[in-house]
Amino acid sequence: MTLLNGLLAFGAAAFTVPLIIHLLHRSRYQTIEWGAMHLLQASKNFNSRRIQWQQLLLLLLRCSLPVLLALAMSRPLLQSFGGANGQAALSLVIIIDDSMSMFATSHLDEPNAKTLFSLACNSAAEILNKLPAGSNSLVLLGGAKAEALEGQIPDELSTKLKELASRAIPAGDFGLQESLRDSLAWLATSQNPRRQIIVLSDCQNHEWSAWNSDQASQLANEIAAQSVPPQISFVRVSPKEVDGPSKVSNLSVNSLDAAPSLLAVERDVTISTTIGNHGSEKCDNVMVSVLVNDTEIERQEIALAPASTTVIRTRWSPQQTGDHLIRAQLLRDDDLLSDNALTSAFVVQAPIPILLVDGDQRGEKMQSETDFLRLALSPFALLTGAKGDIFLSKTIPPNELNETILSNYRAVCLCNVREVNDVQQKALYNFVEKGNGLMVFLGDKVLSEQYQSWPTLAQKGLRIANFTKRSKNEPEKKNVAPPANPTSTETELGPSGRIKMQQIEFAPVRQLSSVSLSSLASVRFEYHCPIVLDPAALVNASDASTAMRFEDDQAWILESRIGKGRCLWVSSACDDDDSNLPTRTIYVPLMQKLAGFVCNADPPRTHLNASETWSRSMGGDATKSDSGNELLITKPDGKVVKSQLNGDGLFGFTETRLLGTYTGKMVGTKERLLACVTSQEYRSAKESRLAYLTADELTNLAGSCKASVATSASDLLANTVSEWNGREVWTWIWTALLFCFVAEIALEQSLSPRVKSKVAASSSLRGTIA
Amino acid sequence: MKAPLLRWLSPPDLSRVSHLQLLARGVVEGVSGGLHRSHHVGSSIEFKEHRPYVPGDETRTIDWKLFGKTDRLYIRQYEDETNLRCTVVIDQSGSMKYSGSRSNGMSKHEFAIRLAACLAYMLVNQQDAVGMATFDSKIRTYIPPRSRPNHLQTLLEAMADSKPGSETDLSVVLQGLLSHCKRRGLVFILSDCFGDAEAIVKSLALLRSNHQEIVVFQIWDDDELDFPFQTRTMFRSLELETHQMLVDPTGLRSVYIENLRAFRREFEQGCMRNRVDLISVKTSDSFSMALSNYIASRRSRG
Repeated sequence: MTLLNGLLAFGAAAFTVPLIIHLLHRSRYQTIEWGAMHLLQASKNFNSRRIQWQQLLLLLLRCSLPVLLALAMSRPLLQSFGGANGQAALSLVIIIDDSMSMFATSHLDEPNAKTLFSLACNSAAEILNKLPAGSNSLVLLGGAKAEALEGQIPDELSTKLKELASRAIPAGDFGLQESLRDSLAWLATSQNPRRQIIVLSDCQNHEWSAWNSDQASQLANEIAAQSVPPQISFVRVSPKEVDGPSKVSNLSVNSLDAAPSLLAVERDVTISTTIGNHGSEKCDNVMVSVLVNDTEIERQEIALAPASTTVIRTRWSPQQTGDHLIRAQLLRDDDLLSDNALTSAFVVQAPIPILLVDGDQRGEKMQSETDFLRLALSPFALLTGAKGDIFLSKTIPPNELNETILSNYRAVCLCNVREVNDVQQKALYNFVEKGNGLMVFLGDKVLSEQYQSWPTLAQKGLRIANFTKRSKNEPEKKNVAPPANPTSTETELGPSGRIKMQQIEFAPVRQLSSVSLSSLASVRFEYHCPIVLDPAALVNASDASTAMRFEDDQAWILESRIGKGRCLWVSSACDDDDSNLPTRTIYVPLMQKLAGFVCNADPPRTHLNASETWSRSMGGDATKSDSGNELLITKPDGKVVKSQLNGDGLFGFTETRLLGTYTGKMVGTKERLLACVTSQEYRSAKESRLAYLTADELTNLAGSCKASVATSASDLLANTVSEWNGREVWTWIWTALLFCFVAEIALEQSLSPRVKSKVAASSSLRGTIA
Repeated sequence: MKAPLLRWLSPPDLSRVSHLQLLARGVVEGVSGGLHRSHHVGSSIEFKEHRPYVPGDETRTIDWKLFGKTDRLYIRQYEDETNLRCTVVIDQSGSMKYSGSRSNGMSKHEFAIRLAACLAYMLVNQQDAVGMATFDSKIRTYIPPRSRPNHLQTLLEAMADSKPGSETDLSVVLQGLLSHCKRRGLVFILSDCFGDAEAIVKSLALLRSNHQEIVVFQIWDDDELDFPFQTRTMFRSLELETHQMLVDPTGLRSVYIENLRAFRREFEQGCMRNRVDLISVKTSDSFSMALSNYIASRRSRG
């Protein structure tokens, strides 16, 4: 047992007062010369032992009153007898919210804390320092995917937390439920009889209110199902005035996007930066700086109304290929500095060589089969002679197609090629299998019987479908009135002439803008070569699929995979012979997307959500390395970790919970891999609003999962540490004190002569005498 | 110095008892004429019965009128009326020395003396013979009953000499009293009757069987009835100096009261069984008033 106010315990010495009074009382007595000794002697013989016990009990009660009073006021802690030093070992999980809002600096009244996160870390360290001996603990950083600090020894964790307090890099959004579940899983393996979970968070509204009462109740049930249900405490590490109106002063860079998405050298890029004001006051003279690779390319002064956003657009033209970092930052201080800058990584690629095999070459302009396609793939080069094209295309006749020429290209387009001989087929198969792409456009020159004779995929060939003769799409027979414009072909063709726009799942098409997609609906196909996917031609059913369909469910585009490469079979020509596609807005982006799809030309993903796996191909660098396929990745907090490459030069990096820029390099090569991690909520600026749960809301939420709420870390420290070191038993002692007091009065009354009975006894005797 | 009578009895007490007349319930055996019926047949005017004449009877007792009517000789017998032989027995044991806070300084012994004086005064006034005995563990003083007026002086002087102080044993004393009370009479016992109630009752029964009418004035102090002590007290015996008891009266009180009731109940029942008049009086009351009340109730009962 420990006494929190030990000095007051000396008040227990007051028990001597009744004892002394009792002894004095015993030594002082009156003497009476008495006649009726025979009556007195009988009474004493009968009652003396009982009276002695009652007197002793009365003395005991009177002595215990000051002792209990002093004990109660000294706040004793009852400790378990099982633990070392009289304290019960404890298994403690501390969950620290390290999402962006925890790095706010507003309303802090702690002189040693720079941010709420540092305050939480310091508090957690202090709690760990006061754990009973023999305890083990786990510290979880709850932002994004919860991450545990290494170690279970409280002293070690405390040291790490003090170091961690200076961290300025936020993690993704706080996952309260996931963190609690991880905590329960860890506690389930614990051997200690007492278990507790402490959540240190600023209780951001959008993170905590998303956790509804049903989920809370479900969690409460999970907790109750534990063999030893842990005690849960929510601690608000947050500004003092959480219930009042929001008085935040915070601007943030909400998003940083570049258009178009495929960047090429000398191709103009529009960088859009969204700035938001989350405060209740207008902000003037806000300087916004946009930097590319640490070189400032734009600086603007803007003014922002309260609770408003504005977009700054900056034009930038990449001058070289490779990874580029674009950073937008606000040159001012506010309550949350972490959201004042945002960095995005972009990859500028070199033009991709693509070979066009023209099966219908003509002398007239825009009459050859590949003229439209070339224009779509390399518009800048053909129209202005400038750089900026993503694809570098070359057209050859079918007879020049061979293995040698294929080795210089990443993709081949067979455009209305009548037939392909066996050698060419074999060369194409090997070409695709290595990871390159093939697109086949079937036109009026195509000899369907020859295509039908190709070896199937199952036979190490290219064919995946059955080919039939090119057919004309018949007009639709309608009973309704003729359209207003009878010359339009759009109304003359049946379902086989229109693209099915519902449930498009083909990724290159889904990525197109809504304007382009709407123009796809107006494309009409007068002819096409019906192709039907042949399951017998496949090794696995997943090797090929119908990517796009006509409205009558006939295939327009079939997709197949051979080795690492991709093939696309298009049942129509790529010029305007079969359809009006080249005249539509979608043609250029569609062709570029299809070509990029078969080439695997999509830029590597550089924008990740927190905790999302970062996967990227190292390409040629992987083969140049002599370091055993080991990639060194530098995280936003400066730590360097190793990631192993697989045989294909790919890696998967999962430690992306921190928001910021990740760079990777092979040993001996130039640092070139970049990824920027943000969180969905960060981009929607929810974290930047600094809006917190009210005290009532937090209490209700805690009540639904049977957790307790502490108003501050210091309160928790005061209460929790006392609970660990022992249970405060002042209520028991006050109860005992009250009981002793009542018992003393009752005993005193029973021992002392009662007025009523005295009168009654005297009256009865007098009555008898009378 | 006051006259002995006035030392014990105040004028109001004297005036209160001077007109009282105590009559014996049964026949008594006096030596001179008086108020009380004698078991001897005499020449009083109170006719008792007719009895056949036997030789030896005085011829003047023959009822000649009845002889004229019946032609048989009968004699007329008349009740003799004689004086009363009273013995006032005063307890002068140590326990009678107790004087409580509510008795105006009057001890039970003083109360008994005054009551005895009152009785003697009253009985002498009605020309009855009054004797006296004082006792503690045995009879210390015995004055035989006399009916002379100056006998009162003798009694009062003996009362004045009575000093309470030693142990008592009422049952033994009553048995000893048998040798002094051989003729029918009335015995007043003025005592607190502390002791073995059963033994006392037996002794009373013995005395009663000796043709003695017995009236017991059991004298109490208020403190003995309600035991009002609260502080720690050393009770020292008034009869035996070595006997003392240090107790907390608050804890003992209820049992004491219960014991007291049992003792009184047993004694009362014993007295009732043996037709002994038991009058409980308290030292805080007026003894003359107590006496007058008793005599009034005795008359009403016949």
